[in-house]
This record gives sequence, C-alpha cells and structure tokens, in this order.
Amino acid sequence: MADYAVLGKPGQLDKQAAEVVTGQIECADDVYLGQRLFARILECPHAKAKVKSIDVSAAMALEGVVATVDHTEVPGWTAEKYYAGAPVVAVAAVDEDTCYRALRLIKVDYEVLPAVISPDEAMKPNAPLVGLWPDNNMHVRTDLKRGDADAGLAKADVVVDEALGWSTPHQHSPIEGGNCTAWWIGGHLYAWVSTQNPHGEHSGFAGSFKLKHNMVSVYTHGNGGGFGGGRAPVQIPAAALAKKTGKVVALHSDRQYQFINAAHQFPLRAQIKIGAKKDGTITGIKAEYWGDSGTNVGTPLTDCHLPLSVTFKCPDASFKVNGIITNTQPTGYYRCVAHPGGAFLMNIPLDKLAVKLGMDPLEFRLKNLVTLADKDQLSGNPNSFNGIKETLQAAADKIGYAAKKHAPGAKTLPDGRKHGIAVTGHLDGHGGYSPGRAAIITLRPDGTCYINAGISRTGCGTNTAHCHFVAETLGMKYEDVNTGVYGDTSSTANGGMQAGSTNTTQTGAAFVMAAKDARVQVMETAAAMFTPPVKPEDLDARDSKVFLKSDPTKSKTYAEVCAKNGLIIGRGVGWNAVLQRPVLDWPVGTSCTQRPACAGAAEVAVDTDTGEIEILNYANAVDIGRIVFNQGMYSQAEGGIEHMIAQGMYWDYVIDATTGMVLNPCFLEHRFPGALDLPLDKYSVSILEGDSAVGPYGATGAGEPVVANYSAIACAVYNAIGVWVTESPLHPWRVLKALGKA
Amino acid sequence: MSEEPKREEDSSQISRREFLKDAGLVVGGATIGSIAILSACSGGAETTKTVTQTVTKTATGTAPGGTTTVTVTSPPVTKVVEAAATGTLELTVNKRKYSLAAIKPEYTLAYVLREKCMLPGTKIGCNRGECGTCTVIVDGRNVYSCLVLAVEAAGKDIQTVEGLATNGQINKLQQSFVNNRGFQCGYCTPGFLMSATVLLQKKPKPTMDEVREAVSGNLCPCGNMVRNVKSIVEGGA
Repeated sequence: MADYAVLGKPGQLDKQAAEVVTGQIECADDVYLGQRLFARILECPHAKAKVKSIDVSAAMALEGVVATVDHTEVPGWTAEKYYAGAPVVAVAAVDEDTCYRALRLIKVDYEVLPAVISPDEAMKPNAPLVGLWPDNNMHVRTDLKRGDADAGLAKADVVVDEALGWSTPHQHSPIEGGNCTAWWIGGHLYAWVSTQNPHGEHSGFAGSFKLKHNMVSVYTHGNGGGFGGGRAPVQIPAAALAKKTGKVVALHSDRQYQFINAAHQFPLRAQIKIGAKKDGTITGIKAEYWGDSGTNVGTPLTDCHLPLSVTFKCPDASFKVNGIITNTQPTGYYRCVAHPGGAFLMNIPLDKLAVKLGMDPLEFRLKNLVTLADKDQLSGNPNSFNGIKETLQAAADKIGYAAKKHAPGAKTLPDGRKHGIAVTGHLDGHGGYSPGRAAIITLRPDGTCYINAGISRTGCGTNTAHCHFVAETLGMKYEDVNTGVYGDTSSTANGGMQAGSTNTTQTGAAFVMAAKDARVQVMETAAAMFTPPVKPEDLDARDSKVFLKSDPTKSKTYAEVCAKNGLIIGRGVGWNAVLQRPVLDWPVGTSCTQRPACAGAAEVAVDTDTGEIEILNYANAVDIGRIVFNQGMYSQAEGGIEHMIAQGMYWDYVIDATTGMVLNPCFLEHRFPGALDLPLDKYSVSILEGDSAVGPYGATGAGEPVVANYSAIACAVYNAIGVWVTESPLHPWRVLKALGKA
Repeated sequence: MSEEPKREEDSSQISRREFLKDAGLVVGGATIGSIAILSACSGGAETTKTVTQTVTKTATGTAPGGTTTVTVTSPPVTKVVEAAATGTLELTVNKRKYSLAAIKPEYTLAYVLREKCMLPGTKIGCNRGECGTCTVIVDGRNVYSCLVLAVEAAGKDIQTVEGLATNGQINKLQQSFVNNRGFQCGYCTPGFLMSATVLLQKKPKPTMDEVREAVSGNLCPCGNMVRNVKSIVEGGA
C-alpha cells in the first residue's frame, strides 16, 4: 500500500469549518443587496387542471405587493397543471407576510380535468391520461434479457416467486429548500441559488431566458444539504420576477412548497422469481418492476434491478422495468436513486430462498457473488475493483452476526420482544465515471495554494476532499492548500454536478490533473534553482518541500519556488473510465466499470404487541477504493445509517387517493428521526479500501452506497418475527398487519 | 367577575393566536413592545369576554379536567390596516442594542434577526416550529425564533450564533464542533449550537442522553446527529 502523505489521514479538518460554526456559510437566502423583495408561489389545488384565467387585481391592490408572474411570463410553466401543488402564480412583495396575504387574494379560474392518482389505475387500458405522455401513462419500459431465464429457472431445485412492495416513497428534503435570489443589471442576470449544480443552473438560466452564457452569473456557496432532486425549483420564477420588477427578488420555497414540489423518491413494486439448486447456486432470475414516477417522465428508475442484476452471478436472467406516470407530485433523484428500493425488493426473495434451501442467508449471498474475474453483467466490461465479499463480511463481523444469528422467529428477548439480525449488500451503480469536469488551481507567491472549484458545497466534504487530492499530488502539506472561490460560475471552470457520488472522485480527478499540470511548472522552476541545476525528473515533493530524489537533504521549499515563479496555475480535466493499471488479464486502457460495494447489517428488537421496531445495532460497510477525506468519509458512513433508518422506518410520502394532495408536507408528519429516535451509540462503520483501478488514487464515490441498505432492517425484522413485511417503511401497523394482528 | 384560578404557569402569557385576534394592530409611529402595544391603542372601549378553559391543576383544588371561567380583558380594537410599515422596535441581540424601523407586529424574531438586524447566522428550515434550525436563546432559554414574534422579544436578552465567538475567536463549543465534525452542510448547526449553549450553561459535562434530550427539538436531515451530539458532549469541557 502506497504511503500517502495527506490522503486519508485522520485529524485533517473541513476547510470551511470556521464558516460553518459561526453561522457564516452564505446560503442563497443570506444575500444582502440593499432592499430586496420577497416572493412566494401559489399552488394549484387540483391534481389536473387548466388555468382559464387569473385575476391578480385584488392582490396587486394590497399595499406592499409589487408584481406577479404566471405561466405567460415564466419559461417552463404551462397553463396545464398536472399535480396538486404545482406552481401557478409567483408574487413579489415587500415581505413574506404580504406575499401570503397576496396569494390568498389571487383568483384563478381552473378547468378541472379528470386525473389519475394511483399507478394501478394509471396502468389500466382506458385510464385517463396524465397528459404528459402520448397515448398512455407508461413513460418508460425496459426489458433486459441475458441467456434464457425460463430455462435457468427450470433447472432450479427450489424457486421463490414473490410479489413485493411498494418500497418507501419519501421526500428526503434537505434542511434548506429551494432558494434563489435574483437580480438583473443591464440585461445580465445574477442569481444566488441553492443547488447541487451551479454550472447546470447557469445553462438553465441561459436557455430559459435566451441569454448568452456570458450574461449569466450563478453563485452557490453554502447549501443546506443536497441529496438529489430534493429542491423545489424556484430559480426561474425568481428570475422572472426580478426581470419584471427590476429589483432584487428572493424566492424562498417554504417548507410545504418544498415538500410538494421538490422531486421525491418514487416507490417501487416488483414481482421477483429466483431459482437455485439444492447447493444454493442461483440458476435463474426473472424480475419485473413498476415505479410510480408522479409527473416526471424522466425519473431515473430504470436501474432499480441493478443491485440484483449485477451482484449475483446469473447468466440466465431477465429484468423488466415499467415506469408509470400519475397526476401526483414529481419524483426524481434521491441518494442512490433506485437502488435502496430495488435492494429492499430483491433482498426479501433472496432471504426467502435461503430459508427454503435451509441455508444461512449470508452464506447464500456469499456463494453467488460475482468476483473480480467476472465481467460486469450489465456493461460487459471488467470491474475496476470488487469488494462485495469483503464488505458483506465486514458488516457481518462488526455486528457479530456469526454468534448472534438464528432461524427466523427463533429468538425471544428477556423482555418478550423478538430478536432479529440480518446482513444485506450489493455492488452499487454509483460512484463511477462522470465526464465533463474541469478544475483550476493557483499557487500564491508564498507557496500556498488555492483550489478554484466550479461546484457548490452541500456538506459531504467534497471541497475538502479536493484539497486532499491537490496537496497529495503537489507534495504539499494539507494546511498549505485551501478552498478558494467555489460555486461562482463566472469565475470557475465547470466542476460538474454534485451528484451520482462523483464529485469527490470525478471532479477530484480533474483536480489531480490540475495539480499534475502545476507540478510540472513547479519542478521546472525548482530544477533550475539547484546548484548545479538538475532535471525536473530528478525531483520529488513532500511536506511542501521539493527535494532531490537521490539526496532528500537537498531541497527547496514551496515558498522559495513560488517566490521565484509566482504565476503557477494548474489546469485539469477529468479522465476517462479506463483501467489506469492492469487488472488480472486486462491491460491499462481497457474500458471498465466502477462499482463500490456496500453492505448493511441490522440487529433489531420487535415488539409483537405494538409492532414497534428498535434498532439495537447497525453496521454500515462500504468499499470506496480509497479514503480521501478521512473525517468526512466516516461522517458520511455514519450519516448514511441515519438515512437508512429514516427510509426503513420513518419517512413516508402520503398522497391522498382522491385529491392527489400530499397529506404530510412537513417535518413532523413526514417524520424525520431526531436525537431521541436514533440509536446514536449503536452505529458502527467499516470503510474498506479496495483500490479501484480507475479512480484517482484508487478512490470511488461514496455518498450513495452508504445509504443503500435499509433492506437490512426489513430482513432483520423478518428474522425476528418469522413473517415478511413486504412494504416499506416498516411502520408499526405494517408489522402488526404482517403478524395478522391488524 | 369569576375567580381566577391560580395556575402554575404565568397566566399573563398570551398565545400568538389570541394576540393577533384580540389585540389588533397599532397604527402610526408608536413604539411597539409587548407591553406597550396593549396600551398604545386609542379610541374605543375596553372589552371583556369570558372564556371557558379546562385546567389541569389549580391551587384552589379544582379537579383535573374540570372547567373554570377566566376573564380575558382585551384592549380596544383598532382598525386593521394593511400597512407596509408600522413601527419601530428595539432589540438587544448579543448584548448590542438594535433600533429597528418598519417592524410589523406579525414579524417573527427569525425574520427580524435576518432581515433587519442583518444577522443571517440564524437560518430558517421550516418557519413553523418543526425543525429547530432557527433556534436562538431568549432570556436564557432556547426557543424557535420562528415561533416568537419580534415584538415579544423586546426588552429580552437575545443571543444568536453570531454572539458565540468573542473578538473573532470561536468558543470551546464551536471548537468542539470543528474538531468532531459536528456538521455536514452546516445549515442546522447554529440551531444546535444555541440549544447546546443553554445545556452547557447548566451542565458543563453532560451525558450523551442529556445532550439528546437538549437537542431533541433540532433536526439534522443530513444525518450527522451522532457527531453533533458528540461535539456537545465534549463542548463544555
């Protein structure tokens, strides 16, 4: 294992910590530009309707109301509304209270249209059309076949065929919702946006308002979290109001609006058939999935099968996915996208099959895993690393699975509750290759370095991770590299989206390239400073000193080098997903697929009278190739446990079947577990370093694999009570229902 | 006049709903304060009404669940005017006096701190008392500033996250958050810091369970609760 000077070292702190703990992280709503107007949005009360007319006269007569905009002035809004809560009018006024009074005075005449709320109804042949897809309500249908699934299943000694779901629909709302402060000066739009993708927003504004890109500036510094699609889109109406009023407009999406209009996690259902021989070898898989996409025809549900289709060796398999649209709120990305739900659905039949075979469920999984020698069952490429076996084992070991395991329903605790334990895991589809990222670094005349990053800060530690990459590559001390400008699209290169678990490593790869570029200039400058002069290739660097490889006592400090050359700038663009070193028989340059392994182990106590589940222990294990920002990585893996507990037990997006309205658009009723709910002293974390052959320094992304295994809770509950809860979250009433008590 | 029961809680507290409904709005440039607003109205007559309330416990021995009548005296109701600006307000925040103009009675403390005092450290997560992001300290208690009217906070000692550091030096609690990574995005952090400050004043070396209780009203959607709590456990030492 290489000896890294900076990478992965514990004790290296977040570069923006001081700003955070003083409350000075500047978010989109914290921007003071003199007087500003505030804005709020009127929501459509109907699941499907067409706006016939809007009368804002009473609202405009209210003192303090400045302007309103509707679909005729907001690019992207239409007269047709397709879900309850959709934006209809945005109003700008002198303060928030006046905005709310104004909203109540706006009169909208709707033509109410027949809507379809439930996906089961939407799938029927003569269902009303949602209106966003021609001819029917099925916006996507995929059919992946390999080998002959029926023949494979026919070879099996034991088969399970299970109807499963729905998996947890949820609004993973970050604490800061959609926020945008917009201002036009001389035809140039300035916008402070809470976003995971500042450069993407930049392009969005340019497209929507038909602006040249050099007439748009987007600023994104702090963001109150960011887990995917979970920000209500407010940027375009904010900019529209700012344009109309000529003033600074701050549109803060209030919590209800945020819960309704931010993309929420789609629920999934499945029919999964798996067959295996007596010895536990899987011979065939046939899986079909359905997802309720709400109104989002682009919702990313089609790889819900991936945990199953990629992780377990099975050449005879078929995977179908059906995406259904309904007149309900838009779905979209959440961390790990379709995998937590897909994993919940697949792990139930896997455990059922193991029990039928008389095998321990973990042994059954270990027996059927793909190995590094196998080509990826989806892409056909080699994997850049494969840590699934070690990761499952790590989670199992941390929770003490071997000593604690037992047959389903077999163990009762002294207090009468049932004990359960389970381990689940898979190779994940995130943290892989994502092109289109660039980075710049500047060295100051005193030998310290600024990184200039075209990304936002959502808190997962990527900004700090990038400093780690640069310090390591340059051979600088960690404290000599700092975050400089970030999230300002008019002065940064496009760092890409902070999503897909790609920001640390793919934008990080761009920073590695930028540091390598700067390093060439550093070595050239330094080489000429030695007496006699040496060649750049004779030099190395560590601890902010450039030294002669043959005699490390001969060195120049970075301060000395930069005093000589104060204009060193490094530029980098992210690299390709090809093997950077040989893997088995595959040479450097082979296209590969990167799949971090993730596993979760849960130990639970279930009260069979109340249905309540207590998490006794949770072990989260992930192989992310290389730890970059040590403290950040551990806090991600611990935090992942909290997200998994939320997905498995608390979060639930409830839509009224008749009106299509969200019934719980707030934190208390779409329950976010707090300090008294979470078993804070019962978390354990294993982070493996399997050295990916494509990632920078072997690193892959981690933000998503760490939240993928709430299925471990479901499987542990089965192990406790001996009956399956096939729908999540596992509310107490669902447990009681499964027990036949409700 | 019926007898007023002696109750454990301060019966002069009025709820936000009662205040807005019964007290009316002050017109003109009168100073607004929680006491002043009840007396600055002019014209009209004082009204009284009788309200039947259920009490849980009284010194006079009314049985729990029993009812009693309470007389609520309201000041004269003045015309409700939807004015853009209605008054000035003096607030003491982090030991500094702020003289603020254009304050409406319905403004929350959170809104006034951010928009009028120009102290953006207090963030707003839900504006409806469900997340604790906007937690500040008022007279030694951690409160949700989105549920406190700015006018109610007049004359009280208000502390926000901006008041924790001294001359640019962060305090021990903040340093503990830095060292332990008691944050991810940092948006909920000011709220946690203020709840923690109140706890640590009473208990400089709290147990994990005492900290969990103290921050039970602070949500952390990023999922950093374990480190937030650890930062506080170690934050007073």
